Amino acid sequence: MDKVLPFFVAIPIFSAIFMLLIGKWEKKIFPRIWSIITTATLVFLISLIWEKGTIIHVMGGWRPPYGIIMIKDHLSLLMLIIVNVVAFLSIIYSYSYITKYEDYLRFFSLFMLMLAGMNGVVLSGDIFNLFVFLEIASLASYALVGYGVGAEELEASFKYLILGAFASLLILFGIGIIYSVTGSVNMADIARFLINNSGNKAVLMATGLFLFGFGLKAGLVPFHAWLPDAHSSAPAPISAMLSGVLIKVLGIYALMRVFYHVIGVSELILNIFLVIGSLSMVVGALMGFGQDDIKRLFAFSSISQMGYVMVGIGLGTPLGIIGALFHLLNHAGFKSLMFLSSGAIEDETGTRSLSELGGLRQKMPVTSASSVVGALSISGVPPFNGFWSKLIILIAALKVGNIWVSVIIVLTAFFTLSYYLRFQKNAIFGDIGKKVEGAREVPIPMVVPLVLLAIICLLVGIFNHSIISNIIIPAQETLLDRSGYILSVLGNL
Amino acid sequence: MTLYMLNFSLMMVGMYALIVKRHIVKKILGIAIMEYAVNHFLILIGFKKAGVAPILTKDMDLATFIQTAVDPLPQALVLTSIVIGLGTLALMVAIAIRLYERYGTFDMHEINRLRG
Amino acid sequence: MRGLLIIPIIIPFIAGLVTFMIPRLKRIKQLITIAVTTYLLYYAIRLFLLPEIIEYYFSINFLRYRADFILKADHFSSLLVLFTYLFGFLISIYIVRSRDWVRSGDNQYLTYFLWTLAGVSGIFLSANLFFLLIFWEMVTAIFFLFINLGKGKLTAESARKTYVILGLTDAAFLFCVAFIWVKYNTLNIDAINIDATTGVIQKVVFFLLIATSFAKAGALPLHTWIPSISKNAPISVMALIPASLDKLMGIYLLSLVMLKLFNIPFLFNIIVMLIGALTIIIAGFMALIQNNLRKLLAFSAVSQVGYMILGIASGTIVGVIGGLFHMLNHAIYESGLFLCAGAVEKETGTVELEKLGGLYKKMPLVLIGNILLALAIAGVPPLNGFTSKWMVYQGLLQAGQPVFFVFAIFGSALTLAYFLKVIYSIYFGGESIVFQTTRKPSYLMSIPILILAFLCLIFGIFSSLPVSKFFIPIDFKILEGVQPIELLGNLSFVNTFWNPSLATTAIIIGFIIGIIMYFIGKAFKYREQPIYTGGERFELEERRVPGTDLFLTILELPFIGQYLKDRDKGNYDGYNIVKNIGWEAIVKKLKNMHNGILSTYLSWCILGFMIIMFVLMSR
Repeated sequence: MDKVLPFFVAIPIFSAIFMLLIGKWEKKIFPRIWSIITTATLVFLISLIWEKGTIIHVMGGWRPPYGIIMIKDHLSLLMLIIVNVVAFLSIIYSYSYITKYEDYLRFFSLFMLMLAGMNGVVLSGDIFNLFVFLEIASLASYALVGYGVGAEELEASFKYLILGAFASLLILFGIGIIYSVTGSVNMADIARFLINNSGNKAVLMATGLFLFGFGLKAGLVPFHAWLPDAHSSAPAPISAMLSGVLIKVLGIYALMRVFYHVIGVSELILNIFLVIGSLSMVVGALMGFGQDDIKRLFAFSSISQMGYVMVGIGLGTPLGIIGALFHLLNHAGFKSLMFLSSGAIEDETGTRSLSELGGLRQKMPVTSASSVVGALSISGVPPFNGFWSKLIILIAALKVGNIWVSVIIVLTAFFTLSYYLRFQKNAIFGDIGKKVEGAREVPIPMVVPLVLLAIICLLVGIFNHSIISNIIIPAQETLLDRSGYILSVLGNL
Repeated sequence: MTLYMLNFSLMMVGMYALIVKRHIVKKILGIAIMEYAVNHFLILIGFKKAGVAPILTKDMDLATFIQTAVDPLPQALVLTSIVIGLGTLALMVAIAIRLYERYGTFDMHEINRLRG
Repeated sequence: MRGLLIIPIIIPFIAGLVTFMIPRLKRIKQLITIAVTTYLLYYAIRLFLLPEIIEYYFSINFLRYRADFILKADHFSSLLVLFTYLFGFLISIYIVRSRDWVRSGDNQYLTYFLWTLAGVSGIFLSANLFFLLIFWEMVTAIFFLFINLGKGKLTAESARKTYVILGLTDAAFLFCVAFIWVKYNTLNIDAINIDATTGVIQKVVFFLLIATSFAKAGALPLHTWIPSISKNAPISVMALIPASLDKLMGIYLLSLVMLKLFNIPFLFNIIVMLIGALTIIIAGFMALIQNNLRKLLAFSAVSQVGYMILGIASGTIVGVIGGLFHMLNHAIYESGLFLCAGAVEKETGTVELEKLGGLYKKMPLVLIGNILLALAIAGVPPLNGFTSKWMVYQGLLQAGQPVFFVFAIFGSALTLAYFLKVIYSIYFGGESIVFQTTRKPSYLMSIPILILAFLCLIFGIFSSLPVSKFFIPIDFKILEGVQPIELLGNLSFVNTFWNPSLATTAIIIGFIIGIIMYFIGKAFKYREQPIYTGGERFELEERRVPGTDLFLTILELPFIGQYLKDRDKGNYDGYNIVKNIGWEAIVKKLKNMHNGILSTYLSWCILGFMIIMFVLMSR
């Protein structure tokens, strides 16, 4: 079954190139259908490796630690599910959404490249490959953010590009340092080396570089400045991908993998996680208050929610990590839902400003209903999914005895609820705004992902227990089991 | 060690240009300089004084080969990273041109429509 | 009956869903609502009359923790559920004619109505703090939707304020529940016993829970949302939620916290009592200067909460029973008063006291109800408000707090004063312009008011019945082993300085004399002559003596007057203060920091990186 793994990267890359080739003859229908087929295939591929536990694919027959390997464990599986399902839904959504742009081809091929990059990051078993895939995904996302080539889109894209490139460089620098210390780029091999030789100052340097680099990709405060610009300027399905999965895969997942498995966490690093996480929660939530643009509001809320995840990771206890991973999953669901519905709203009304919207419920009932579900989930109203993950993180913080963090968690939950209620009040309910009068319900391909995501939010909330015990807890056990990771890659070398 | 220090100062020069300079092209140049510094650093890791190319031929002794040959892996890494850097640079320049068309300025401080 | 404890929660919830699905079929929705509330009222009566305590539970495994979903109908819970559905029933009848739910322009009124009932009975029946919390938040969320039914910018602002206050305290509640779960490993209300005499966090948790209950019940300083929403929300919503159900919920939580969950030093009782006393006085004065009937009633609802707090916090048996009894009485007469106001508003189209007058001819039934309810809230014997207030006074004296006793008495006088103004302005004092257009209110609106007024009378005259049947069997520690006879013996008031039965007789005699005098006055015919001044005829309107001028002099007082004026403008409203500071000092600053300049963002990154490196290297 290990032969399946390279296909997660190969299929989207191949499909991107294939689309460009065929695009000479057929520019409109083919790329859309072809991308739906591609992403559907990827989702189907996940089902093949679902039950298989840890799978390692050795590229080209070179045994680790020398060759390149791809590894799927429970953590990767969780991320794979998030990435591909959200990508699938976004692609379905794009089927109608893309009609507002002229060039369909490049949108879908860049999308596929980004998807390939993210799948690569998740599956990669060696740190340099992780970097390469990270760059592929980032490059595609820079281009996609500026896809509208309006002034603001380009500005956002350029800022994102400069900051992202800066972060990538420093990550590469850190990888160089790690390589110079350990003489290996295989993550398990590095980990084995570092367990035996701890206390190297150069590794600390690399730690700082990784924290900065991946932290920037995850949009954590104070490295968050690109995020609200980029996420609000990108086309809606891309915003959904960026907020829903990209910051998680390139940022949070990479941080988790690198720190929990490769470098190893210490009290100090966990505390840094906690501080950065709390800072992100508070700053994101406060900024969310002052926004008029709905997409910017959602973007700041992403920062805030990533703060939750970081706090959960930073607690370092099994419960905290369960909370963090569950929140990661939930956030992918409701944030992509919010961004997709914001795209639908913008499409119909031509505005994203809260002060100009209002009364959408009467004009776009399905979109409104699903975005209300999303808003309730993200603001942590039981029984939707966001409530449970926030509750778990809160309980974990209290179990550790960290009162300050738990107070911040509760306050942020309150702030989140208030600015989402503001969104609902000003956009969905209330009197019909001027620009809303001509709005109608969006076409079916845009409605379907919204409804599906809303249903996912509700179902995950209701069946939280089985989701946690089947997907989250194995991932958490994998994450905390550093020697198990080394053992599974290197065997008893 | 001197080499590492010089390399590090090159990186600082790039960072300086990136942060302080307002001109859009100078910022791009800053990124480019930093990239060279990082690539250079990778090369330095594998570098050995008076080293030979890491190709094992039949007439070589394995022990002396390991002593003298430079580490091949960083070079491979650098090649990849240069390619990535090229892509990034191209994208940066392309967007910079478009930005100039839209805003009519090269001053990054004036390109600040997205704020708050 | 045993497994069916979930009925009062699930049936209104499902009925709510059904009404949600059929937004246009108004008649059917109405029938469903009335049928559900009627059935559940019957159910709640049966539940209350059952002698044994019923439990219903299933446990779910949550993260290797067992969470028991326990519903438990002990005496107190079933009592509260009974009254919840009593109010639900009466208001569901009332709204048939008052048509709040149609006028609000939103088809979801009845849905929210039913869901509120479901949530509230869920709160009372949960024996697990966690599920109590979930129902609690559900009620807050529905309430937010409910008050949004009003229209206009003011509604949005006041809804936001309501949400901020209730939401913040709900967040505090969540924190407390999580803390208790983690620390004490149980959330079963019967099993929790927290010692707040030692430990800082325990103290904080205690006060956070108190604040939660205060915000819900509407005590100082968290009461400001009630007057704000009162101006625009549908009046039946005001009658149902802030006037009655919120009091039941808030005081239920308060009594749990004060009497069951915590073991507190007496100092805390005094702090809570102080807040209660201030609530009575300040809200009483605020009510005195209001000229809008809705706002006046809202402040009176706040003011009365003080008595419940005083009673429960007094820590004496009489006081606690008095406080709980007052909660019930208050819910009865306050919702009745709001329903009266609703009838007046529906028929005249205004609630400004200046514009009303002389309505006694048009709505005599409402007048009778309103007078009884007003006297009850003012604490005039033999109505129920008197008995419960009297018990609170007794409790305060027993607890050795004569200062608070004086506060309470003074507050009672204030209440009487402003309800005098209300009754006079609406029903007497000359006919106003709106008089001509006023119609007779429907019987469907008058009857619920009269039922509530009748309840006031019954609970007042036969007050030993509710005391012994409703409150003494409650399983609070303090009420254990109290014999009804003994307590009632205590309550015969002989050992104090006032003999109430004499007073009652005296007051009744006074009333009779007043009525006789009124009719004697009527008996003599007098001539009405239009007024001429300088040849000009005065209009009817200007000849009236509006009741609104009665207490204007208070605003002229040097210190208090200015304070009340400022307060009326919202200068002392904690929400406004926090909002201004938070917006100006924090959010705006943060927004300015995101100035869109790339170099700024880069320097943040470098700065953050430097700090991280410094922290890492310093070890």
